[in-house]
Amino acid sequence: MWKRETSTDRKFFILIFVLFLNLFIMSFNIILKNEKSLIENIASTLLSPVQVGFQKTIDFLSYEFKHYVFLKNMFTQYHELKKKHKQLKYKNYLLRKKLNQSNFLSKVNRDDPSFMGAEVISVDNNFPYNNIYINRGLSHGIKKNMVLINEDGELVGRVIDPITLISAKVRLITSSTGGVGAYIKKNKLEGFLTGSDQKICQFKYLLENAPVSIGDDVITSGTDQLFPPYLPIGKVVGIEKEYLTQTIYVKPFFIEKSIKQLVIMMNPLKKGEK
Amino acid sequence: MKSKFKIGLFLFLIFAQIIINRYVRVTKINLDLLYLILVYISIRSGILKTAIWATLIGWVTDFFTIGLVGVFGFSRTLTAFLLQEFYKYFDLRKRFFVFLLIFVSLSFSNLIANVFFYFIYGQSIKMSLVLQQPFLTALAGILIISSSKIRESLDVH
Repeated sequence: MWKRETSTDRKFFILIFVLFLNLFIMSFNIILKNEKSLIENIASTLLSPVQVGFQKTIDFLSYEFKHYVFLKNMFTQYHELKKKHKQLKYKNYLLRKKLNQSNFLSKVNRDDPSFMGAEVISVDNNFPYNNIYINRGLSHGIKKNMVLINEDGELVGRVIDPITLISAKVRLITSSTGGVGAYIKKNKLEGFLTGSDQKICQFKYLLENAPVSIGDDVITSGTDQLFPPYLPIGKVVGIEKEYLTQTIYVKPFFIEKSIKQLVIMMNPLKKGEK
Repeated sequence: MKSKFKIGLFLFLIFAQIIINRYVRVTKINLDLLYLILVYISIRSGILKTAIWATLIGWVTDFFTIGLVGVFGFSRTLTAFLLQEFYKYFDLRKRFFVFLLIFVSLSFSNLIANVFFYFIYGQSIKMSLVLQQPFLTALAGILIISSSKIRESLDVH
């Protein structure tokens, strides 16, 4: 009887201790002002080599299988064409940007950003529109607030902490934390686009009489000093008018596309720069 | 030999979970294979081992999700303890009861985590977490123990 009670007590104490430990870690870890979390950094540093290791193994096995099973030459040619295609897309984006800059931002003196490819190694499967992890980190020159775009040059998100040597966390523009300075391309109606961890973002508190139509393009304004201007974000998919204001619903372009391969813009905006 | 097979199986589940996480947007399949490892440990092991593994597996799940370490650590630990207490009332020789055990316990664990997400982030209760993931995970568990070799090495008959 006494032994059984001791065993039950022991179980109870272990349970309470472990639950309390988790609650303590949780409270220590809640990010209130987007500050670095030490525990998240440690967990990221320990687990990211495993993720990247598995990803490289999968890529290697997949590559070897394709390489030897399918026609060797066709495979090589396909990759070369794909690489050229990507390079032309990036050049196209740069040229379009230069065109816009020459019209509107002639006073801005800014170097053209260079690009680095990245692969997504992990997606939060419970909240897939919140954060992702990429296989580039400090050893590749990745820094906080670097912007990520997809293969079509459309905005995806930005790098946030934790950044390890070989991986980095990316906050998507659909995340409920943070937002993007944006405007409707047609009429330059400016606002702050926020996510809600869903597929659709929202422009809130715009004046009700501002003309907006479904299908209008939305691009970055650069006023948030985080994202460069003129990056395509998405299209207007809904408008909800209230008494004096309206809420505009925007579906980002990247939602319907694969985000396995992304591009990092290597020069984050400097403070005060637009 | 059996223990090597067990370790190999657990590593395979971890490997598979990383792949599933990577392609979840494309496949829309939301599984938690690490939870199957936890169910096995809860039923087979003592209190201390269960507590340690439940916390570790919970923390790994936290890292793969919204990033708030401790939420799934808390919910998985609580569920693992309850599993240890209540599994005796299920006839685990029948696959239906194995399915039910995994489904109900994972659903409960995810519900607790969702409650934390609600209070901390304002996230609403997600049906994919509370229903879809437990259903698919329980289904995966049943498929895994369908193999007689696996049942023999895990000592579940």
